[in-house]
Amino acid sequence: MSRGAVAPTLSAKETLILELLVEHSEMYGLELVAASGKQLKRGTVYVTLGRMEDKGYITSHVEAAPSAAGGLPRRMYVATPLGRRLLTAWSKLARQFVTEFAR
Amino acid sequence: MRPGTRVRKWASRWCSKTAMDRLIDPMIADLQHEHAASTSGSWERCQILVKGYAVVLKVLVICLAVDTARTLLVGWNDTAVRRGFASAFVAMSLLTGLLTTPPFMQSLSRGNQIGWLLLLLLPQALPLSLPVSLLVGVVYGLHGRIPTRTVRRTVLLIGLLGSVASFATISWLVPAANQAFRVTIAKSVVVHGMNQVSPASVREQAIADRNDGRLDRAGVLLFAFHARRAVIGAALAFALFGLGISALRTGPAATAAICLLGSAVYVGYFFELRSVSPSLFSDERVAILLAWFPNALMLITSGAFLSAREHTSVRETT
Repeated sequence: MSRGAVAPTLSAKETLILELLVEHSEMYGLELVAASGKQLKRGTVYVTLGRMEDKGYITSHVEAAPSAAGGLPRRMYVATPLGRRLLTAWSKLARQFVTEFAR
Repeated sequence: MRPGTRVRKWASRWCSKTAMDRLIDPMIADLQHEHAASTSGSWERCQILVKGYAVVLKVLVICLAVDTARTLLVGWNDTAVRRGFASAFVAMSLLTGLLTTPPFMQSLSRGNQIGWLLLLLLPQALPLSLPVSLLVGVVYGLHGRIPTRTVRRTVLLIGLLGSVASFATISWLVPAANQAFRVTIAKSVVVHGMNQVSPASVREQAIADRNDGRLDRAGVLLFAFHARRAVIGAALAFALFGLGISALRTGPAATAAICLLGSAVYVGYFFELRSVSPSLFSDERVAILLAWFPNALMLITSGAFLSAREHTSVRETT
């Protein structure tokens, strides 16, 4: 790695979000909160999702409004290829650390 | 009307487009779908709404604070921001000096040659000088600028911060400084008077007096308590009033006259209420209504000025 380059990192919440998105392909905010088993909070999940989108780990689009429910269309989140690669690398690194420090 | 519609409309006036797209709209959309999809009874649906709104409001406040702090930091190079802060500082210094000089001169004339007594007198001037300085800062900082969403948000947050500062001043700083002043002058232990105790203690005493049938004293204390609370809100009211005045695009003399008139009416109102029978305020609802009336009037007037500006802008563009 060149001098000055910063390796991307993943926080625990970002890792969880990426894992859920990789598993389910696309989800909306409250769906992520429900699937996280209370690890993600309703108020902060959108802030985290916004930050991850800025970093390029996920992308989002507004769904076409379903005619039955009405109201505002939900914003659906999808993991980007960068996010998927980062999750794979991070998970591999985490497993190596666990193996290393378990000795 | 779907849940969150009014909150979204209000938020869109104050939050940036990014915050709306990334945070507010997804939250409200999810809340609306959750509420619509719920097959539970009305109590559970009400709980969904309460939880949803609580989260939306929490995130809204954080958004406003972050966006405004960023705007102020980025906008420091803006002449308007510097002019606003400079005007506010000058107004605050002048008004604080004006309010503290008479009691200080009085204590000097009684032989108390302690210069630092002035420091103990400064806090009691702040609840009035802070709102007026915010008014002056906002008016002369904006100087007829269009009250855009960013400007409104910034003024709202500055007003809220001013109210927080007023709360700290009135609840703790003023009672402590007043008591220290009295002890220093008397050179002995002095029993706390009404102006030397916290507002909560004033209310407790008022309720006790009312229960004992001392309605006049209860009325005086209840009004004092609610007036202190209203003065805390005055920082926000004056800041938003300044926003409304700046939207009028009047000349400097007319602007100064409106600012002076507004401040004089606000202060004069409380002076005039002293002639009202105190037992009237023993009914707490009357005390609350009369104490908060000037703040409400300032907010309504500001809203009217801003609406008038919006209508004028629409007419000019069509």
